[in-house]
Amino acid sequence: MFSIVIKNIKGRKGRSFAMIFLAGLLSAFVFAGTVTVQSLQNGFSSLENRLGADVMVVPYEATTKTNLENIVLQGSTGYFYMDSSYLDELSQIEGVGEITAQYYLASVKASCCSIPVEIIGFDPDTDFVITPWIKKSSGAEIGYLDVVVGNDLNAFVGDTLSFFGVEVNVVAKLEKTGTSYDTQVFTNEETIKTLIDESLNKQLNEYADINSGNIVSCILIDAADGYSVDEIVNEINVHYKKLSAIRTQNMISGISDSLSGVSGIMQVLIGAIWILGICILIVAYIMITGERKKEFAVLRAMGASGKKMFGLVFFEGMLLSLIGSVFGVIFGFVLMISFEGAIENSLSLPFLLPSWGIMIVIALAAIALTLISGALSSGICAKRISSMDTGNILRSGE
Amino acid sequence: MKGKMLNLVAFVAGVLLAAGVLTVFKACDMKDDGTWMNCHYAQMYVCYLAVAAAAVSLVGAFITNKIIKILANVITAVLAAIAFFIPGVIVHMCMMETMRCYTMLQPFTRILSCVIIIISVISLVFTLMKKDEAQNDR
Repeated sequence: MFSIVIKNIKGRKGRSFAMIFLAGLLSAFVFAGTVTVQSLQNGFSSLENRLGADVMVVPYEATTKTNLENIVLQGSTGYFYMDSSYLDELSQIEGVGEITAQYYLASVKASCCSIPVEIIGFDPDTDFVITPWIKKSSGAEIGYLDVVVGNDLNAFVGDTLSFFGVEVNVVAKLEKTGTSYDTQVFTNEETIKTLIDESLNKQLNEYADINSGNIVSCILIDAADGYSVDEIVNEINVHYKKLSAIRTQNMISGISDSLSGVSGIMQVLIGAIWILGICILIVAYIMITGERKKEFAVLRAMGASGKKMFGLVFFEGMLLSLIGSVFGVIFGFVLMISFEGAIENSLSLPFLLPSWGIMIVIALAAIALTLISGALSSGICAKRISSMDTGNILRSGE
Repeated sequence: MKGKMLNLVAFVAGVLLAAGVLTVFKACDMKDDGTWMNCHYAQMYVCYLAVAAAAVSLVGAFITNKIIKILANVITAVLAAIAFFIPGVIVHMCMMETMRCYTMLQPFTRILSCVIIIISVISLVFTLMKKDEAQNDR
């Protein structure tokens, strides 16, 4: 039976190619769509983990003058400062568990291919937000004039970067996070203060009258166990008029809404395309078997049983679906891996491709789904063929 | 016939590569000061190589001399291989991998270069096999 199926496929190359193409298209869409939905969900959970703190405290002007969310969530460049004495004051508030400060600075365009990048300084002794990510990617210690770069920056361990004329050494590169971390540079408190001083010396800092010794950009707070985050936020907002405390969960609610919107649309599309794909495959098989009625009738007249006829059509359909689905998954995979950045840019949402293991599971599921579609459509036609009246077909000369 | 078809497909892929890197899949835009980033030159080199590969594969499609046909396939594959390595390896690109040169130019160049290389190699194999058959007949 296998040789007859192979001969059938080889004999009608155009028809076989069309069926393989249809199956390939179906599996490519199911694979790429599922990977996209999964990547968006990964990106969002990565963003949740990356925020790492319950409360973010920034100068009040930062929430009005600059688009804070763009700096924190989208990786846009920008900076703002407040007095570092707030760090001690806020640490006294009841319910504050961990507390740390961060320093922001945006570099300026330097060489031919550089664009401004956001440099974030943190205190390694108190930090509980960035350090876990750095430890996850590399165990490197950040010394004076050392930096850690995000995964999307074209700089590698051992490279030297220049910010405001100060040369810094890249000691680690973060793993891909699918968030704004990927385009940022991280360094310790001492180094960022040197860079801020240099930016002031070169008159490249918007804040001309600051002293790097007594400023911070934002304060991150984790609530102690048993204490309400909202109470801490209210306490700060009520008593510190020059500050603005933001619950980080609220910052990402907009992204969460967009994510559920895009994921929902993708899931509906995958479902619709799958149903449409099955319908198209059924119609295609019905048309093809209609054309081949005489061929099947001759086979029946030669002694092929109805069961054998069913097997022939069903096996041919399954084989074409298998070939098509494998090619489709390979095509979808190449597309997703190659254009990951373009997809991320166009969606403007955190986007992190799933691990290889998950990708293989999705690929197998897409192949299985296409095979089910192929089995359904060829099965329906095979049933019709196996029960047709051979005599009538041969007599009618169709 | 198969070899001719493959050469024509390689020609189309070459034209697509050249047209693509100049339009939809082009590198980063001109800077505010009117100068170009490195990736623009990568784009232009890829374009020149793609045009050359397309021209050579077109010659390969219509030439009957086997040695020239073999040479045409080898040259097309080598040109595509060089094009593959231009963005990011031979020519350094921009600082962030979120920029167009990384998200559009590089993947498009690499996919189409691979397609041209694969087609040229298959065409080369067909051409070589044809030669062997001819020798066996003698």
